[in-house]
Amino acid sequence: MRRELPVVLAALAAAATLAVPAASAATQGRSFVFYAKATHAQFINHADDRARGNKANPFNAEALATPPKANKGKKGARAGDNALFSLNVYSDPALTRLVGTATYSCTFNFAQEAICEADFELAKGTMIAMGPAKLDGRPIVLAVTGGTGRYVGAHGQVTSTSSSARKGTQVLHFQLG
Amino acid sequence: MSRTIAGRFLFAAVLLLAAALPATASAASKKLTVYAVPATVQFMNHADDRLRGMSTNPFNFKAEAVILGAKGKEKGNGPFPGDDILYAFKLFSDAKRTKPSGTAMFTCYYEFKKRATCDSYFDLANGLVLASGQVPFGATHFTLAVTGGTKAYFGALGQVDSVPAAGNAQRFDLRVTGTQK
Repeated sequence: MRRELPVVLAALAAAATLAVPAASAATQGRSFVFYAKATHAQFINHADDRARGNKANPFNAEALATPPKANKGKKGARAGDNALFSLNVYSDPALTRLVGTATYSCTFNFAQEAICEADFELAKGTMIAMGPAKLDGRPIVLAVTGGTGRYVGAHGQVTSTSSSARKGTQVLHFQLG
Repeated sequence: MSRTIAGRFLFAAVLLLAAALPATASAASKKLTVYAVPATVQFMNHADDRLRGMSTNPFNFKAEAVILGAKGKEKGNGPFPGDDILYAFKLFSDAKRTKPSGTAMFTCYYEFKKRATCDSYFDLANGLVLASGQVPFGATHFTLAVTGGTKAYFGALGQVDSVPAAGNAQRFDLRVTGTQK
């Protein structure tokens, strides 16, 4: 068997090489953490468009009216409003090594929940992600839907949580498949 | 090489190939059907923003490119470019709609000819599925591309086919591939 072993190992190595997908090898199975701090925020209040839309709209009389409770809650964050956030992204929790920026563009739907599109501009490429968010301090889990450069074909998820160690810092945990 | 060695060689290679195939292949084509009932809708009429955008903008638009009529009024009730509609759905796993299975949210941003780009998410018990695509206003048959997901749908790809169902409901057939967990 001693003489057979190298042959079998070589065959296994060759088979493994063939089976590994050529694409997404750079990002597959990666998990990493970045740290982010907000630099700008803008809330867009579309109260006028909402009110106009309730009167002038393309629906017929059978269409559902927006239930009053759908837009209840704290001031702002009603259906159709937007929130934009810009963040600096760092590789270390002390926020000393800047590696890129991130932008979250969120449109509120109902019950103070928004759908957010996130764009991460990093040194060696970009990633985009999308998903729902409460924007009230709870963790946000977005699905990573693609990327460029080092992150081309990236798929997975990114979880954003508030840092317990440093106020105002978001911990971005990327898990790529 | 003896026949025994060759046999082992092939067996080992086949075993390794099977193990090394990406997870996407092993979890391919998961199909899920849900029945959706509209729960809430909000139309956002951006007529004032359109009007403001015609006089103040970074482009050099030609007069014929604008959608307003000669008297400064929009024709019909839209939806016009820039309007958006938000839809919330309750989801059920059965056609009789007795077994709740989650919620879905559509955010549709209108472009021209009453066509919208819609971003949606299906919030299911075992994870989120995201889907995006073009939907003409009022269409009941449309197809969206699945662009990702979380938890059980981590890394999902595929498509969602939408067709009408009984009782003012909509049936969504989710064909999801590429899940990796």
